[in-house]
Amino acid sequence: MFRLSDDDSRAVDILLDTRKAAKASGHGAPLPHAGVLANPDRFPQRLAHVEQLLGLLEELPTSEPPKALVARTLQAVETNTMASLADSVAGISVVPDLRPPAP
Amino acid sequence: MSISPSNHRRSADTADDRAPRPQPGTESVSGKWPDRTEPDRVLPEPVPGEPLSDEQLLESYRHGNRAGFAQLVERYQRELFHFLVRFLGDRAAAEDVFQETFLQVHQSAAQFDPERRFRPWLFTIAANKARDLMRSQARRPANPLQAAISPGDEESGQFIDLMESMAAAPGENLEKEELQRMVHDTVMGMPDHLREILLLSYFHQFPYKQISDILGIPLGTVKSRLHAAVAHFADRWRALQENKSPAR
Repeated sequence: MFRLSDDDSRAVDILLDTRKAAKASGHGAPLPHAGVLANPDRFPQRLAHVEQLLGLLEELPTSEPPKALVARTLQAVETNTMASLADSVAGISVVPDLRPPAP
Repeated sequence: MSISPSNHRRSADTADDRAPRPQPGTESVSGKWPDRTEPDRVLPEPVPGEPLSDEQLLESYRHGNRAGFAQLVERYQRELFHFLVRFLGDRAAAEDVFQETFLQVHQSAAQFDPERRFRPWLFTIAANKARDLMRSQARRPANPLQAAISPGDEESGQFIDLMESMAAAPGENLEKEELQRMVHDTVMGMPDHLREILLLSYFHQFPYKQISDILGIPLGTVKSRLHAAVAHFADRWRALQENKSPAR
């Protein structure tokens, strides 16, 4: 598996943590302290590179859900429910057993 | 894969909802609407004028309020669908898994532990369903990157220096559409478990602890796997850039 240096790993953690904090607060969040680094002088530059790299993910195309997704999902659940109920009913004999008791 | 009653019954039988463990005495008959006689659980009281939390909606559903379930589906349709499309790379498959996920929520509602959060539980189910689908189809994205770029990265332990990997500004001079296609190819060319953790962390911003719960892996593995995912992404991106522009 590919691995990152400790400083790169720290940069990734910081940027992801900051995104989470920004989302939670609804606005920007300050960068946390980086802690002990192997190469502190280059860390701001490293951080910028990692931010640029992760920022590429914003270009990952996605598509909106189909308009009827909610309705189809609820329908699927309903259908399953009815099928399960039908199975339950089918397992119960509603016809009385009128055979005479065995001698 | 289509949603049909038989499929639903089968999926219920396979106990696909793996992370949240049922508590003794709370098992329900799958496929039925939640039992109204379930004992009350301790949740914060709804605040007038404020929307109900996910957990409160699920609790109301467990007491027979179908609108609560519909609200949950509505609330998560965009986020969960986006995750599934990005993870599976296929709209139709994403829709199927979306439906199966909420079917599982319905079937497991009685087993939901109110001490936990609904959102990671939902993603646990969705990720399990998506992985099952990929396994059942023995699926790998048809992607030329897989063959074009150095194989064997799972075991090599190769160090990637992000500073060097990104020496050229990533994505510069690329048209928007081309950039999107290249990012898509890069992400879809990643091993499933690396793509999954990258999506959960970057787009859905789950804390590491919740990712640990969702994926059922130790916290330390979350970190190492996530770092490996970023390294993998960087390496693939660099290779793609080099293939595109050999002079760079």
